[in-house]
Amino acid sequence: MNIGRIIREIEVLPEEEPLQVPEDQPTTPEPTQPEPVRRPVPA
Amino acid sequence: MTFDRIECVIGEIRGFRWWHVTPRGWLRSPWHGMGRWEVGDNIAGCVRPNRCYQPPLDHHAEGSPDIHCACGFYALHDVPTGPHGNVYNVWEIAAATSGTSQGLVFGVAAAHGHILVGTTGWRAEVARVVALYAGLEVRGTRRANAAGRRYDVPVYGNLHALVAEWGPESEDLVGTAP
Repeated sequence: MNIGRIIREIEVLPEEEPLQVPEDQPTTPEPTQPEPVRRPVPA
Repeated sequence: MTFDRIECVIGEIRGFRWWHVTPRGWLRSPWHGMGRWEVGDNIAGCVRPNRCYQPPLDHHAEGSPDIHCACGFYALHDVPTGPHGNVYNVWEIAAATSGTSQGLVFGVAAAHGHILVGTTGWRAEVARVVALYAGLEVRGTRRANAAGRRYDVPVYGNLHALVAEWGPESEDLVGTAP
């Protein structure tokens, strides 16, 4: 087998699939609710 | 021989090549190793020290294809039309004979990863089956159709249609070479 004289060396990177994000789905996480302050319970 | 600069390209390159086709539609590399092509991407490994046996060896530090070896998946820039002059190249079988009694089927492969581009073809690290040409004989057509179903690729009965739809844009690779 013969591909002739080698004239180039290349790195071919496959095109990546675009990230599919539904329109109604937020891309950033919702801010988390602060935890309620626990009051000390009298003994 | 080494290249100072490895160019980066996005996408994939295509080329023409032959496969051995089994009655059940499996495609194999016909001349070295007889390695079976899987559906989807195939990753090359050098089989030079034991060409007749599988699995392939990975003895090149940078993987396959190695510029000093003959390994990698092969394909041609142009459709072979038959042997020319005294230079015998096993690839130079007329594409019109695809699917005849020699048990070979002609088609198009696509490649990515590390690729060595030559004046008449390329050697690649990763390759897959893209399209096949069934030829004119009934048995060849049957086998090519079985391969088409197995690899989920189109099978053409007209060589010009295959070339028009899937032929490589080899000028992009060869024409601007240093």
